[in-house]
Parts: sequence; structure tokens; C-alpha cells
Amino acid sequence: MVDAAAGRFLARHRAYGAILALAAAALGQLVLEWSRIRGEPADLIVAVPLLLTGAILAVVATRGRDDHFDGVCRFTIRFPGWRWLLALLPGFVVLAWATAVIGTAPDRIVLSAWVSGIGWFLLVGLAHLGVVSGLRWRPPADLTQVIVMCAVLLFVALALRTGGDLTRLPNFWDSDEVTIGLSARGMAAFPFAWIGIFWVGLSKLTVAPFRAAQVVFGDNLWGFRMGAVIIGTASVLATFTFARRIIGNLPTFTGALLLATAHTHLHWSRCGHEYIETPAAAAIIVWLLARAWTGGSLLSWVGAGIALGVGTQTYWASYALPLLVLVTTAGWVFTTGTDWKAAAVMTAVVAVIALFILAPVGRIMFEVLDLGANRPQSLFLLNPAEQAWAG
Amino acid sequence: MSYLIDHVRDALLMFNTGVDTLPNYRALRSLVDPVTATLVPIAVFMLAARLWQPIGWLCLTWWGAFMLISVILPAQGLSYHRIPGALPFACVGVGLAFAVLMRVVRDGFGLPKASVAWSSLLLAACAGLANTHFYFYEYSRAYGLAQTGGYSEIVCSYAGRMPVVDAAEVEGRAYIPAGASLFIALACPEVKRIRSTQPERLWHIGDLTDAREVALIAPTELVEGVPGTPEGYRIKRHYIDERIDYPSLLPVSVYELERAGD
Repeated sequence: MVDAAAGRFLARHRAYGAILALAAAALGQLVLEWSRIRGEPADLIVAVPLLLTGAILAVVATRGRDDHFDGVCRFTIRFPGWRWLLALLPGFVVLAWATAVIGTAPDRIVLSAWVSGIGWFLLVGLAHLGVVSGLRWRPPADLTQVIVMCAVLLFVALALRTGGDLTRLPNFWDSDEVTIGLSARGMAAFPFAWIGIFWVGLSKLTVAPFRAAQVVFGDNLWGFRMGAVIIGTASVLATFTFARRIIGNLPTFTGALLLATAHTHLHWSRCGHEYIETPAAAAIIVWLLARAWTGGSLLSWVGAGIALGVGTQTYWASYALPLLVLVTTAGWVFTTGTDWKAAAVMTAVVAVIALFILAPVGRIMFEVLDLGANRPQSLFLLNPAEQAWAG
Repeated sequence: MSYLIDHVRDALLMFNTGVDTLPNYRALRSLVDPVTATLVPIAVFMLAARLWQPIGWLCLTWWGAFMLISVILPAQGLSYHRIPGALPFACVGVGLAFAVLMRVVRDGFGLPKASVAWSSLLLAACAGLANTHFYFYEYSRAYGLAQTGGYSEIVCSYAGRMPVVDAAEVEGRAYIPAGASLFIALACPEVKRIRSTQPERLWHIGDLTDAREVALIAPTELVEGVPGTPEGYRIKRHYIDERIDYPSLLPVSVYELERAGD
């Protein structure tokens, strides 16, 4: 009786704390918005303490609670066995050969080898899935809910990304966007030269989605920008699919809706820039990793490796993806209590697959290191030239 | 040193306040809408409190890494083009933080079970409204019709209809930004465009083409500087397009011409 009363008392005070947290944070943001509307410098002296107060109150109000939402999957690693890992070897051999002959062999031979290596990994993954589960798909208990949520996300993301006139919003063209567009079009003349670098040292695969969009939707501005629309929409769906396995459907659906409507994400999903490829690559990699860590088959691990190998090539910011995968693995081993040996082996498989997929373009980048490294170096905060620019 | 301190401070606060400084977006708005921004500090703290749970570790490391390599380490002021990689993790963090807080409120006041779902949907709807209002209304009107896109639109409107004599870049002066030819090439590769580069020969259309129909497109300022009538062609239609207004006004004169004597 006393315990129940104490529980109600505590719950009520937690609720007050949560409301106060939201109120303080809202007030802090309101101060910042008010400064913006009035065209004045942001009033950080007032706003920051309010925002921090809200954040601290939120932590206090939710401390010690163990909140679980529907849809969470249990972390467990299914080690496929050494035989299956050995079966991946031919893929590595083919990719190593592609790396060795790139620059000397014709483009179509190198590309064929590169695609074949990736295809072999997928084939082994599919074979493992077939042997382990007989290729029988067991629908999750919340399948209907997930389908409805995905459909809503797909509709919202696509509607906002194609709404209005895609050719007139944004209604200006950045020279970088034109470079990407014309480079994508230029790939038509070299249909097999996908492994290499262009422009300021970016991988040619950066423009692959835009070239595909030009082919499918038309070789004009609308068709070109549809490439970004598709990538942006994919990143929203991938975000939902990865996070729902870890925290459940409801908070993930809310988060994915916020992402689908976020104006910055929206803008880069409507421009023919490569910047939107980083969140898409990150979300797809984490989705496959989350699948693999929650009882996924070898196909999920192989998929994560392929996504990492391809995704790392998308933009400068994506170069951090391999390191982030390793950091995530280290953290998840400690936070989930899974078999660390299996985790280490399978993460090594992911990393080696990604490394071999990256190797051909990596060799070319290494040969012209000055070009590839020039951009990140020149933009570095502590670069003397940048400091002079900043005054 | 003060520059570095300001830079790091602005980067840490970019979800809540600030503007995009590069010309490829130029949003006069914080990185996310005010509704989401309200919850960003809360999400960071709540994820930090859950650092030893898979979601806390994942979101904080990926969000933090993209902030570091995309915003804090590069110079050139705050820009929004390298940071999208952080957005999925930030949004998931915000969604989780709000759902957990709403559960606390629900449990404290004995609200219906569905109140968490409905309040989460309400949050997403409010954020969506704020974003769509900003992007499709405020932002789309903030900069008017740009010279690059606007001029291309006029030229491209003749694709498949008639060749275009384009006099936007003449000797001694480019009326539209350098590289506009590339913009037009990207937007409508099928348009047949003939460059007129000598102002004094603007009206000598017959020297450039013998097409039965042709459109002469030239900045009005140029046309007024060299008054005349097209040689060998008669004017079927003439209008001045005054929509282009960014970064400065650029009235464009358009003459739809037909070969004389046909």
C-alpha cells in the first residue's frame, strides 16, 4: 500500500519534471527564435541555460526507467561457421585481381571483375540464408504496423521531395551541382569507367545514382534531381528500418518523420548534389549491421560489408564510415553482452569485404594522393590559409 | 583563438540557432526546425545517459563524429552541406527522447496508453508544418528567381520548338554568371543554341542562322544599347521577361522571329 503510494508519488513528480523539461527547452528555443525574428544576435546568455536546464531535467525525470517500445529485436549474433566464411574467398581473389589490373586492363574487364566479386559475396550470403532458413520468410509479429509506417514515410518523403516544381525549388544552380550533372551525363560515353576518380578526387561512383536517374527519368534537370530524391527517400526508410530494431517502432517512426520533413535533408534531397548520399549510406550500413546483430544471417553481414565498401566512396564525410562501424562494434559488444569473439570475427569480415571493394579505387586515389587529399586538407580548420581567410 | 572558440560554439549550437553561410543553400535558419531544435539538447543528454545502451552509443558516436568531421574541423564558416550524415541519428535521438518523456507524463497522470503515440505524431506534424512552411514558402521566396535558373528556363522553353540566338554573354560583358552555358546544357541538352557574341551585330540574325523560325534572347539592357530590327527576319512576337531578380534584376528581351519572304 505504502509502496504503491510512493510509486504514484514518484511517477507524478517524474511527470512534472518531464513537463518542466519540455517547457524550459521550449522557452530557450523561443528566445532564440525571437532573436532571429527581430534580426538580433542570438541571446545565448538566456537561451543556453534554459536549454541545458531542460536537458538536465529530462535526464533526471527519466533516470532509472527501463522504457521498451514494441518492435525491439534482441541482440544476438549467429555465427555462420568457418566453412561459410571460407566460401567468400573467391570473391576476395577476384577483387584483388581487379585491383591489380586496374589502370592496365580495359575498363569493362575491371568493372566486370569488381561486380563479380560483389556478386559472389551476395551469392554466398543467399546460399547461407537458403541453407539456414530454407529461404522461408517468417513475417514479424508487427508486420502490418511496419508496412503502414513505411508506407506513410514513403508517401511523406516522396511528396515533399517532388512537391512544387523540382526544377524551380531550389531555383538556383550551384556550379557543383552542374559539375555533378554533367559528369553523370558524361558517364554515358564511358559506360564501363565507373571505378576511378573525377573532379576534386571524388570516386566516380558518387555520380552513379544521378546517371541512373538521368537514364530512367530523362536527361534533363528534373530527371537529374530525381537521383537525389530517390537517395533522400531511401535514407528516410533505412533510418526507420535500422532504429526500429534497436528502440522499437514508435520512437523510430517519429524520428523518421522528423527526418523526412527536416528542411536541410529536404533541400539536399532536391538538389543534384552528392551530399545526400552520406546519410543514405550511413543509414543503410547501420540497418544491415542492426539486422546482423539481431540474429541476421551471413547475408546481412555481407550486405553490411558491401554497403560499407560502396558507401564510403560517396563523399568526403563518408570517409568516416569504416571507423564508425568499428567504434559501433566495440560499443555494442560492451553494451549488449553478445559473444565478443563472434562479433570480432564477423566485424572483420565486414571490414575486409569493404576493404576489397574499396581497393581498386583506393589504388587510384593513392596514386594521385595530392588530388584526393587536397580538398580535406585545404578545408581543415587549422590550415593557415583558412585561418587567414577567417581573419 | 577567438575565431576558433566562436567557430566551435556556433557549430555546437547549429541545431538551435545560426544560418547556412554557403551559397548552395543559404538557409537563414538553424539546421533543424524550432520544434525539433527544442528537443535536440534533451536528446543529447538523454542519449548520453543511455551511452551504455546500443542506441545511446550508436547515435552519439555517429552524430558526434559527423559533427566533428563535417562542421567543427572544416573552416569556411558554418555550412549545412556536409552535416546531413548526422541528421538520421539526431532525429532518431529526438524521437526517442520525446517518446520516453511522454511515457513519463502518461504514467504520472494516468493518461491513456495511446497518448504517447498521438503526442509523438503531433510533434512530427508540428515539425513538418514548420519545415514545409519554411522551405516551400519562406525559402522559396527569399531569393527570387536566380539568373542561372531563370535564364536557362527561358532558353529551355524553346527546346524542340525553334533554335535560339543567345546574347547573354557578349564581348566585354557577361550578363549572366560565368558558366551559365553549362547550366543550360544540363537543363536542356536538346535545345539548339547559337551564341551571339558581338553586340554591334546583335540584329544580324541571318549571319548566324537560316532557320525559318528562331528566338532571339538577350538581356534588355543590351538590346536598348544597340537599338535596331532583325535583318532578314520579321518579329512574330516580342516580350520582356522580368521575373529574374536574384542576385539582381535582369529583364530579358525575347523576340520570336520568322524568316522574311517565307
